[in-house]
Amino acid sequence: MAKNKFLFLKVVLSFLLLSMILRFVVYALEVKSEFKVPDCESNRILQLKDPLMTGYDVIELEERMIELGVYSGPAFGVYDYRLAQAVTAFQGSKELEPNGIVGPETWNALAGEDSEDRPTNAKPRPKGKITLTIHVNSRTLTVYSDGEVYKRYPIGVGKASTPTPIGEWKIVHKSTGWGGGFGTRWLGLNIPWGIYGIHGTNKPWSIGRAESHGCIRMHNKDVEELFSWITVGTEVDIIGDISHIQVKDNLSPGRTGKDIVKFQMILREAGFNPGRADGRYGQQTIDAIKSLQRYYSLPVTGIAGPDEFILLKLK
Amino acid sequence: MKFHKTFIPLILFIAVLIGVGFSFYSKLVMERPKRITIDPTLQIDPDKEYSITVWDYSFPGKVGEFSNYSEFVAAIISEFRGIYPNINISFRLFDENELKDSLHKEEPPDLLCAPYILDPNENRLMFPIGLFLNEDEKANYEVFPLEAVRIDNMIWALPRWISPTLWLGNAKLLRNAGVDLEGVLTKGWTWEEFHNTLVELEKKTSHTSTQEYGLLLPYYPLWLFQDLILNNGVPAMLSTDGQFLWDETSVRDTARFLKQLQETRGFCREPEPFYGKILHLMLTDKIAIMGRTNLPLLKELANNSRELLPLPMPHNSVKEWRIQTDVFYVSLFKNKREKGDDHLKAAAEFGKFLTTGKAAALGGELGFLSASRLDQEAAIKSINVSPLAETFLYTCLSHGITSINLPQELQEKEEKFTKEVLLPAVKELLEEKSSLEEFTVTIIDEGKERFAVQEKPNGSFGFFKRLYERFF
Repeated sequence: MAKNKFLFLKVVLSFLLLSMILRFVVYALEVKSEFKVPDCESNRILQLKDPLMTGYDVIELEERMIELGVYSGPAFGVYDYRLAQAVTAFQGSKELEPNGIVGPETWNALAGEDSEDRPTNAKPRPKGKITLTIHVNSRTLTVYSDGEVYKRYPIGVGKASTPTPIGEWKIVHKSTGWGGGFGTRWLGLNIPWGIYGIHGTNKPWSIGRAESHGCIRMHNKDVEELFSWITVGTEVDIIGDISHIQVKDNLSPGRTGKDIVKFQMILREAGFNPGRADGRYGQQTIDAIKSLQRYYSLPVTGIAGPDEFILLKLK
Repeated sequence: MKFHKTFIPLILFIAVLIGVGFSFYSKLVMERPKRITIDPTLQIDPDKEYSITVWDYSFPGKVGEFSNYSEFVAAIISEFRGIYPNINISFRLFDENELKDSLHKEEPPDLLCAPYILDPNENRLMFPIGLFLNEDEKANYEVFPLEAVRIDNMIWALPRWISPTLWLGNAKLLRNAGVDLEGVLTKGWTWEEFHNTLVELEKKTSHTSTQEYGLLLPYYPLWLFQDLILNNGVPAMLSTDGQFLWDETSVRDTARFLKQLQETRGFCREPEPFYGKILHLMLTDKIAIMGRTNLPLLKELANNSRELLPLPMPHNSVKEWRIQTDVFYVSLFKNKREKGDDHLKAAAEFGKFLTTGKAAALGGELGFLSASRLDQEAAIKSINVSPLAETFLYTCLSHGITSINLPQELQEKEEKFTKEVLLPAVKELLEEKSSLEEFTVTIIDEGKERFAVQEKPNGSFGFFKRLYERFF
């Protein structure tokens, strides 16, 4: 009888232990997914390989080398023999090991005079509530303190084919020490269709240009200052042209995307507040659609169909 | 002195007399609203600073040249301050919870702009703004919205904008079916004429499938029942004192007509599959009539098509033809920290300013009719619909009715009745699970059980009440 009693206890304890282990595994997986490598930069080492390496980081390398006059182009985004030769020659001229392998040292050498030591006109942390506004067209990041302009930084934004996501976001993640293309600090944004953020860079020449893969690049010194001021939850509005974004099909709760951002902005302009234009068809957007439907005596469904598109002049 | 038993009936008689007398006094005299008066010579002091708080509803979209409603009100305030520089206006948009809180704390705004008025008997800080109007000013307001807020012969709010409840029609399809649109828009249409129209539409479109060519598309058959009964001699389900107004005849006749409509192919019993594309189908000539809707929608769609028209709901007799409207009112409140009658007058002046002139006319930009007669034409012009549609807007004013908001408790009871009794009963009727008689009995019996039934005062109390009403 006593043996049976212990057996029961053992089973219960084993079950508890197993569930704790499972919980830990799930937690670890969640944490891992949170720290997924962003889409906007690559920290990989570039070199001549079979098959040939391709990608936007190769294009950035080519464009920078063309700019410095050490490569004649064109910039195809393929790390081929010609490019490797040009890299090797460049490394030799900068007293680096001429191996054709592009790592942090080579990127730093490519930065040349656009070095990390640029003065930042450092300021103390503002006292008011901080919000950030990024103007894609003027390539600036403005820090507001209680709605007043506090400081403005130059930034680099996404190129036309990989634009910086327009919308009203929040900082959801802060981290340090990623290095390489991400510079010294990373501030992740809650963009639902990819991993984007504000970060430092090892390509300081790209600040003021539209060359990134969608992220916002800052000089390392600038991003370090900004990093020390803001907390997770800080609002970041990215302003730019959204006229090219097509809003099509029926939009229903749960959807995410660029078209939802545009739809939310249009809803707000029409006087029905969906909250922040964060690209998520969530409860506030549902409520805004319901208000529109109630105002015009349409069936109140919270779903945006052709009728709502007609009223919002999207059709 | 010895107590004699014969005194007992006498004492009882005196006690009954005192009781009846007291209840008569308490019912008819103590509960009688106090007559409120104001000094007719009262003036706004030009050397005194007044601060008036105004709470308003929010309206979406642009208002004429203004990018939003708040900007529009700011311009109105600035214009008003040009006339009264010593009256400062603090304006804000409110939500219902804030209003409840402020009333609970007895700190309401000076002026409340809303699509209803509160019950003056339950809100003792309300003040009859009509006392600040002269006869000419009163005559400038449309009669029906002003009369709706006349309680105890005092006007408790100023009507600002009028929003008629209407149906929407596709002029092209209706003309094809032989409908005399001018006649319908000026004189209304009877149930019979409306039914004949549906039959004609059915003939014209017999080659198409019903799914694609819904001719009548109420969002819910329940609404259709309510719309029909409103134009069958009973303007509302409940009176403001909670009397159940529907009678057997009106319920039975309305239900019979609803069944008659159901037999036409154009009646859409299950509108849900059309949700989200009703307007699209209207604009592409797939639906001839839809309901129930409002003027802001028509205004919004006027740019897409001039062929869309507002339509009245059909009526059972010309005599009973009424167009239901919602009215936006401006009501005045006293402050519990008495600021003086001149303060009330200053607030009332802004109330008048909001309900007349440019402020009234610009209601048209939002899709509302003006309650100020002088500004009506300008308001209708800025609604910007076709000339034919315009004629109907004038008709709305001559046939409009509105009822003031029911007290909260009655509203909840009415909603419960609609949900628990009316909706399932209409559904069963249309699904042929119940007969016309069963439907009528259900509605009337449940109505009588849940609400008071209108009766003429009778007995000795009725006699006293009638006597009182005759002499006082």
